[in-house]
Amino acid sequence: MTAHHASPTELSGRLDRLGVLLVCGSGGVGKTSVAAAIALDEAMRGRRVCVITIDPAKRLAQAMGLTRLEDRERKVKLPQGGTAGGSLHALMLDPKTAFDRMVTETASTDEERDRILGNRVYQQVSGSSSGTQEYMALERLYELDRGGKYDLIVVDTPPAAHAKDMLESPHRMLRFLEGKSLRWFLKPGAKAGKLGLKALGGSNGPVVGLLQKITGAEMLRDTTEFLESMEGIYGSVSDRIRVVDRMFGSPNTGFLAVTSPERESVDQAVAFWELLEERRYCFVGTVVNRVEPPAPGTYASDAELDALEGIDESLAARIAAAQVDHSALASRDRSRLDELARETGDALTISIPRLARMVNDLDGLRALAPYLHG
Amino acid sequence: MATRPHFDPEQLPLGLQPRTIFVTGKGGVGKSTVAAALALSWRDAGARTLLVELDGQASAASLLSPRTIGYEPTPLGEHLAAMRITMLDALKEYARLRLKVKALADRLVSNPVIDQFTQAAPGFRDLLILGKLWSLSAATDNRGRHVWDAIVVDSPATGHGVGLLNMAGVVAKMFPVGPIATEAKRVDAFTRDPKRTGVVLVSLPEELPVTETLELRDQLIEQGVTVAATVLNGLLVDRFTDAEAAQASALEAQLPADASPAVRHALETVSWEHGRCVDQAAERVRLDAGLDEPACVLPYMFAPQLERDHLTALSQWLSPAGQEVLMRQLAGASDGPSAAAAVHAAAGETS
Ligand SMILES: Nc1ncnc2c1ncn2[C@@H]1O[C@H](COP(=O)(O)OP(=O)(O)OP(=O)(O)O)[C@@H](O)[C@H]1O
Ligand SMILES: Nc1ncnc2c1ncn2[C@@H]1O[C@H](COP(=O)(O)OP(=O)(O)OP(=O)(O)O)[C@@H](O)[C@H]1O
Ligand SMILES: [Mg+2]
Ligand SMILES: [Mg+2]
Repeated sequence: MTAHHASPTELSGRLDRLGVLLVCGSGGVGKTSVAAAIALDEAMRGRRVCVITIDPAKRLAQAMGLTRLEDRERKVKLPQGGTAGGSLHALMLDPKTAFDRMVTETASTDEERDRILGNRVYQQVSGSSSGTQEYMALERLYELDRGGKYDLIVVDTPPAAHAKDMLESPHRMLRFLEGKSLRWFLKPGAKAGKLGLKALGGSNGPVVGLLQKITGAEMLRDTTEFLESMEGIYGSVSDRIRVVDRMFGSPNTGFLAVTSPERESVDQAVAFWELLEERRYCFVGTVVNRVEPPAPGTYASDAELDALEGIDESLAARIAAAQVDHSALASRDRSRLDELARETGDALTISIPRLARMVNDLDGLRALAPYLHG
Repeated sequence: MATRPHFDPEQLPLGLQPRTIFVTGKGGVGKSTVAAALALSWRDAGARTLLVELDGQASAASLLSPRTIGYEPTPLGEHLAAMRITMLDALKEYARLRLKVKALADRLVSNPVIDQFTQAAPGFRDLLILGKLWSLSAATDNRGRHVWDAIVVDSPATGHGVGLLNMAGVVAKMFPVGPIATEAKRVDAFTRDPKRTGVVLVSLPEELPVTETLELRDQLIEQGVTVAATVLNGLLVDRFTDAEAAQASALEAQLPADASPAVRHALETVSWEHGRCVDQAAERVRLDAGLDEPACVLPYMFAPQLERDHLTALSQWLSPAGQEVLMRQLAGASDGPSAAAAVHAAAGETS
């Protein structure tokens, strides 16, 4: 790999061994910010980095030179002071284009490609953000990784219910495109043309007939046609999906969980760690974001507050109340961090305070660096 | 639907007439919390209220009761019940309705082909769920009264939430004839009827959530869905004036190196909290500027974990009287910090 910093911190030490970092977590916890901050930091350390970002805040996108969805990497101008040789590229995921490209690349004929791209069920499914987005981020990762232009690719992930949704996305995609159930619909030889109705004759005829009763012939036919049109490319797509899935297990690939200090979020991070352990994937650590700034654990006494110049009784009482409130949150967060560190083996536990002001630009991202490195 | 005689219109939360309300917003903004509080608030105003969780992560009902919630409404005290709609349950019910023979329906639903079909067929899942909500909202008892005055749906996060409400229309356009079209059109009319359906958008006083809330609102309006109210959740009520915060900063800067860490932290807390309040106020202004009516507000509750009592407090803040008090206190100047203290005391009382 590339130039090393004089004394790598724990995080950068671990990242040096990786070519791919997947940043996972539930909605709104700070995945996009953390992914971009790490990418920027590693680029400043002299590595050639690319970040695949998903729906970044407008200002952050602008700061990275991403003015529109174009599914292309853009070179980001690095601030002064980085180690020579480092570079940063950013790409904003456009799932629909990525899906279209996957179809284009795997279709064996132009006809096959056009049949899929022209299918209205395909258009609906590939354009909808839910479900396929995760997998399409991995598709882009696969392409960039193969290109070999980068030392490290950092992948942001779409807002998910659970961090593990990312891990399951290749299998979901496979199941979705799978030909097996398709053959349920189709009698051998009934391929061309009027599917739905011919299929009624097969051993599954009754089931298909029932389904048709509740959906109507049109929806059944179009959906079946869509699945059938995908069958031609199913083989090559599933090969790719398996390659992508194998990337998860590579020693070059690491996972980073981002969570808030809230109970559910921390529990999810622990569950995610367990899952990765079970599969022997490389879990780099957890970033707990928006942590209450640490408190000393003791309160200023009335006498101490009264001794301060110009503070009357009412203000002193309010200061005391605020200190109690914030200390309670700080101690909650402290124990959540300890718990996480205890329960996730030798993985890193990194905390980023809730910043009073979070600037969504490169300077804002750089301000996160000191926290990333503890 | 006309207001029922037993409602006190003065007491209705967020000025909302009872109907089916989808509570949505960006991930983690407090959708489940607001949904649960809104359900409590409606119940307290006299409406028979149903709180609905959907497939996946939604968890509003678990904030109110440790019981496992299923497809049958589970009573959670007087005038309040909760249920969970999964796609499979909704499909089972729909199939029974259409096929009329339970055995046939069960045979269909247990067939593996169904799983793939529901994944691939655009909008089918969403349509089933919306169809169930429609039937709940239309259900009447033997005296012809609506079974539920109000239905609160803890909806999925933004992207998916828009999809859910938009889907019936998309399906109706894609498949203009047949049984699915009939269902899609009925459900589509339901989701666009402001008398029957509305969305409550939840936001946080931060840059990205506010921006996304405004975008989402435009999108919904474009789709013909009514945004019934916007709730700005997690607002800090400023305990300090600008001058006091400046004074605390100055004092902190003058502290000797060996000053007590507790005193230093106390002073830091003042400028930190006040700084956040100032930022939040700016985001609130930005949000309100993009809305026809100012957003409703909910205070940040200082508690390691929100408990049932906090939800009761939040439901009271949602009432017209609660909103009035909060708005005044957020306006700060007139009542000054002592009113802020009242909010903090009210929030603290319950913990
Ligand atoms: N430590 C922090 N303190 C204050 N604000 C923060 C902090 N971390 C992130 N933010 C802000 O929170 C917002 C959400 O962050 P971000 O977009 O990174 O989250 P996300 O997990 O990618 O969200 P989504 O799931 O919607 O993609 C941004 O406006 C960001 O600036
Ligand atoms: N007003 C508030 N004061 C303090 N904490 C709050 C408040 N509202 C919500 N929270 C806390 O914030 C966290 C997120 O809230 P909640 O689960 O309701 O969000 P959500 O939008 O439903 O999240 P998701 O997108 O994951 O479903 C919870 O831990 C909740 O207790
Ligand atoms: Mg993001
Ligand atoms: Mg929720």
